[in-house]
Amino acid sequence: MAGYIEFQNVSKFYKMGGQRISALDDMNFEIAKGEFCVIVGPSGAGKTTLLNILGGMDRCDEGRVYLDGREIGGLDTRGLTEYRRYDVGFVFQFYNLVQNLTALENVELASEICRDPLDCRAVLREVGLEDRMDNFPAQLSGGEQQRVAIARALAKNPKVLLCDEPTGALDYSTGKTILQLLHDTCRRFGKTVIVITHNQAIVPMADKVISVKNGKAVRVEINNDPEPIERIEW
Amino acid sequence: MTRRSIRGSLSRFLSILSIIALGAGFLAGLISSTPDMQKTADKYFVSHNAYDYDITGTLGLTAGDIKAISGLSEVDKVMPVYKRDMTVENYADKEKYTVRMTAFDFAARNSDDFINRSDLLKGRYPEKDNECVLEISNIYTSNHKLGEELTISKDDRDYDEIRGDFKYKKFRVVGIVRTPMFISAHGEVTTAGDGSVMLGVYVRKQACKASVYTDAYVTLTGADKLSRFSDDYSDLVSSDKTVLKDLGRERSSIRSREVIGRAQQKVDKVEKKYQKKKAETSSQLADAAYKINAGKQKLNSSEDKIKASEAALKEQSSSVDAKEDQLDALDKKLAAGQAYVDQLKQLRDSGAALTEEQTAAVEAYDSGMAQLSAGRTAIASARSRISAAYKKLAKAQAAIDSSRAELAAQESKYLQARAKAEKSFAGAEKKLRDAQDEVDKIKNAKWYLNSFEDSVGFSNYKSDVDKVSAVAKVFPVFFFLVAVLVALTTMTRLIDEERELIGTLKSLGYSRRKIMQYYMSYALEASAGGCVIGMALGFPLFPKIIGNAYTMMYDLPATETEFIWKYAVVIGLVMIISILGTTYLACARTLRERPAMLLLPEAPSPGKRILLERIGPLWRRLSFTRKVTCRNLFRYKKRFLMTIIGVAGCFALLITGFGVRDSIGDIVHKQYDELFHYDFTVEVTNDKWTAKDKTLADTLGNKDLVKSYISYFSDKAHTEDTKGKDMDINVISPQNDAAFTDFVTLRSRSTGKNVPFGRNSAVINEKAAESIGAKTGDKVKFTLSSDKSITVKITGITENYVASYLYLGDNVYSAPNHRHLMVKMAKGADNDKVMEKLLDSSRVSYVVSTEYVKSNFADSVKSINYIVIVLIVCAGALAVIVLYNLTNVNICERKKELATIKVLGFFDREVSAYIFREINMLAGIGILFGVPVGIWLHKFVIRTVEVNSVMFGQNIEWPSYLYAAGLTVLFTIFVNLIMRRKIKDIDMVESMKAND
Repeated sequence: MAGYIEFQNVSKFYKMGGQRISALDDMNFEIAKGEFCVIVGPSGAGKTTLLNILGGMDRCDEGRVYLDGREIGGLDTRGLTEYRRYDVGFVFQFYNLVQNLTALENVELASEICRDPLDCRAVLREVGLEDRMDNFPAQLSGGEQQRVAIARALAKNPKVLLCDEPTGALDYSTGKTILQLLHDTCRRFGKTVIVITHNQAIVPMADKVISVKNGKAVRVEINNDPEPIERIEW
Repeated sequence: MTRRSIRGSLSRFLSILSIIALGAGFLAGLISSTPDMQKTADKYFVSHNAYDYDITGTLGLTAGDIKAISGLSEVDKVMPVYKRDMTVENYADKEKYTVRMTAFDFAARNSDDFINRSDLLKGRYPEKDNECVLEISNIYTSNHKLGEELTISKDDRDYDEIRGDFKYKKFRVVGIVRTPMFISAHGEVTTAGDGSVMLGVYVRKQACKASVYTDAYVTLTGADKLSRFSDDYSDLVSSDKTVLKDLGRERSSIRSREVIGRAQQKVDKVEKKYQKKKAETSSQLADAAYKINAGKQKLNSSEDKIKASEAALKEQSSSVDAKEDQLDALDKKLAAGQAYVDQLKQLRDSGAALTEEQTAAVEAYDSGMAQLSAGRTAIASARSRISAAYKKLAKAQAAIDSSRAELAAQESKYLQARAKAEKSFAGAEKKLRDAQDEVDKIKNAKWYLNSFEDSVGFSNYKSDVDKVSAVAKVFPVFFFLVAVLVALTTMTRLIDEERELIGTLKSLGYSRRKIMQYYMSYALEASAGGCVIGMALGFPLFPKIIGNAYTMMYDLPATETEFIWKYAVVIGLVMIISILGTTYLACARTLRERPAMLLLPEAPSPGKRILLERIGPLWRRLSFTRKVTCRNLFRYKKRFLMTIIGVAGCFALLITGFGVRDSIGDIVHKQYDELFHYDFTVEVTNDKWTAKDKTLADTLGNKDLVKSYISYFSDKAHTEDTKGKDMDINVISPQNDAAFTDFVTLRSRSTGKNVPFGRNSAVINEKAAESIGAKTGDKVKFTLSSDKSITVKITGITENYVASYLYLGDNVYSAPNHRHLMVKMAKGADNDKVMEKLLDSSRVSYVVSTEYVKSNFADSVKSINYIVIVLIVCAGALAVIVLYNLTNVNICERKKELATIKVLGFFDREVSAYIFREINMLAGIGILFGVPVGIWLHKFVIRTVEVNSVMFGQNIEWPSYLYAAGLTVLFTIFVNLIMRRKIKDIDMVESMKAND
């Protein structure tokens, strides 16, 4: 199966002072449709840059990036916005909910602008927030907030769910349930889920693990038998 | 560190700086406008040695008077002049002007003692006696040029007197000057011409032939050290008035005695001469009469004698007749005896002797015969004697008759002479009586003390300047407050944003003082910098703009501005202290928290349901994004309020600006198109013109020129206003009460209903009614110019904007004359032509064209546009800065939120809309709030700037609301455009950040 998502010789440079630093250096990998993929690496390995490019927030300087057969590396600003709008669901480390909107409204905020959104209430029910739809973020726990964020990303019905350290701000058990939720989402909705993290511990649950180091995908492992979340501990 | 922090958020620093600069500058500028304008004027008055009093002597001022005045210790300098208000004509443009002609000693114009020194603006000073320089009270509306010639008009009531006082009647304009005597476009009050002097004409002293001065300009000791706008000056002027008044009384009685004595002497001399001549003539006449009488008596006595002689003759003749009768009887007797005697004789002759008897008979007969004949002779002689006497008598009678005729001729001559003499005596006596009357009529001399303070020019300027200060109190204070609030929000925001930094510094062991110092110095730099920039611009800029706007109405040098330290320090201190104070509070609040807490992001203010959500049907109807907007609006209350205050203020300023233009532009249209329907007012010297003045009657009867006219009585009355001040009002009493409302619409401004006018009506205009505190039904006392007082019951109050009017019906006041006319032009007739035709009549003393008055007035209110522009610019600056600041804060505070929705795939347009919808909605709400504020502000401004006799419209026309709203929207859009960039530049990476 050809890669649903493909990075081909992607490089990204930053200028710092007079020096050119490459954040991504000739990176190559593929992710298949419906895969639960974990991109893992230490700080400064280029994870954020990778995320930015994959999330349509930034462009690469060299190489090509494909999603579902479409080249996104060469999109203009508007194209990138459309890409983010229709193709990517984003889950942030700090949830990034709009404080002034209820859980439901936060989900609606995203679904408003999509072509083919899912029913917001249904999605919220799906993530287990049936009773908290009308609560404001401040009234929700961290885990609940992250659920809202996942629901918000899901409701857009995107091609890929991009999660940036989704458990980073959560305690251990809550983090686990969130990962479970993401995993379930991947399986039940058939979504491609990409989790970017520095936490090696969650690697076993992934279908594919891409290890990043110094701007390169140093290792791509396919895990044919991912371990259930409950069994993973860190 | 501060420096770096400033550079790091330059736009924020600049926005604090600029709002402070705007607030401080505007406040400083407007507050200093009044003192600057006053100082400029004062400086001008002092440097030009402006008078404090103008003393006018009704019988002139003599050298003695001048000496007496200068002898007063209260008086600094005296300059006597010959001054006369008169009408002059310019043949070239056929215009008549009421001018004040003053004869000066130009040679002394630079000496210290010269009062009312002039600035030569154009041309040169007069070198010949038939040259003059002009002073134009409003150079912007004048079309006077060098080289034009002004001729003393024969129309002037006192033409002969005036003409006699000047060497020439025609003066050529060789220069244009400016003096402190005429500073207002309103002109000075006079009794000559049309009642208002707009033009000063200055000629050489030598051009004047008058023997005494009319006026003395006086400066008071110590006055040059006082501002003429100060109460001290008023006090000085009024305390010195008593002294001058006392001197005036004393000198006036001397002058009266002098003038009256001299006149009396003249009359007495003439009378003496007359009496002498009368005596002479009378005695001559008496002589003649005596002679005639003597002649008459003599003649009479002669006649009497003749008559006596005649009577004697008659007697004699009758006695002769008697004798003759006797003789005739004798004759008859003899004749009867004759025959017998004859017989006897024959007998005797015959010799017969006769008897004795017969002889006796014959003898008797013969003696009888002899006796008869003798008798007859005697009678004849007597008769001839008598007839001779008769003849003599007749001759005497004829002589008498001729003498008598002669005498009669003499007598008639005498009578004629006497009648003539008597007539001439009567004439002479009447002349003498008249002359005496004239002398008796000479009013005792009186000094009029016209203070500089009370001159129309200065008093108007003073009150206008006061108005500026009243306006200055409201606007900039409002600006100042907004500026402080905006600066505060921004500072608070800065501290909130940097709580992490504060936390870090604190945890690193920096003392609270040190950290505080950093923020305080940031605030200090922003506020002090803003104050310096603002005041550096505000002090010179605003007074200049405002002063120059007023200069349109006044002939004064351009306003000089200065940096007023007193204000600068106060404004600066208040500004800096309030900003430092709140910075301190915000900082202290943050610093109180433990460093650990500070390192954590401040808990975002939680979302809240808003009231609107409880109105289900309405809430459900709103689109999702609108719901978000609504909720956000109420989430940030401080910002919400600030924006609304800012926008409301901007909108209010704009409404005020446009409204002021409406109100003032309005009155020209309302007064001269809606209320006054006549095209001309005409004054005729005498109200019997209908019969006598064919020229005027023809013009008025010409249907091609004149549609209709009405005659009325006009007078200037005065009454007391509620403050006890004298207030002038024009009294108009039409001859035909019923037709009057065709010429002047009387209506109530509030209801628009017509105010009825009839024989029993007394209608007063609104502003005057307000000034004297009169309501319909009140009785008000007015004093007419003849000093006669009338008390009228007000029957109605009418809309009126320019000047004050009291309209009286016939029964309320029976006018002594109706020698004024309101004339309506025929449709399509030419204004100038009709005017010319009306002026053709020699009985017309003046014609005023409504069109002319209207355009003049319209010109003079044009300066208001400057104020409108100032207001618009300020409002714009206010709106832009407030909106910019708040939007900036809004965006900074919600950077992460915005970055997030960007990541969610919102287009830039949608992200902008997400923020701008709030701002626009706030702007909309601000506009709504601005409406009442604007209406109030407009009313306040109008009330403040209203001149006594003028009432400005109170209406704001709906286009003004549109303009104001349009501009506010434009300013908002402008800010949106600036901010759009900023939103676009928000990095999506922000969304990944933890803090906030």
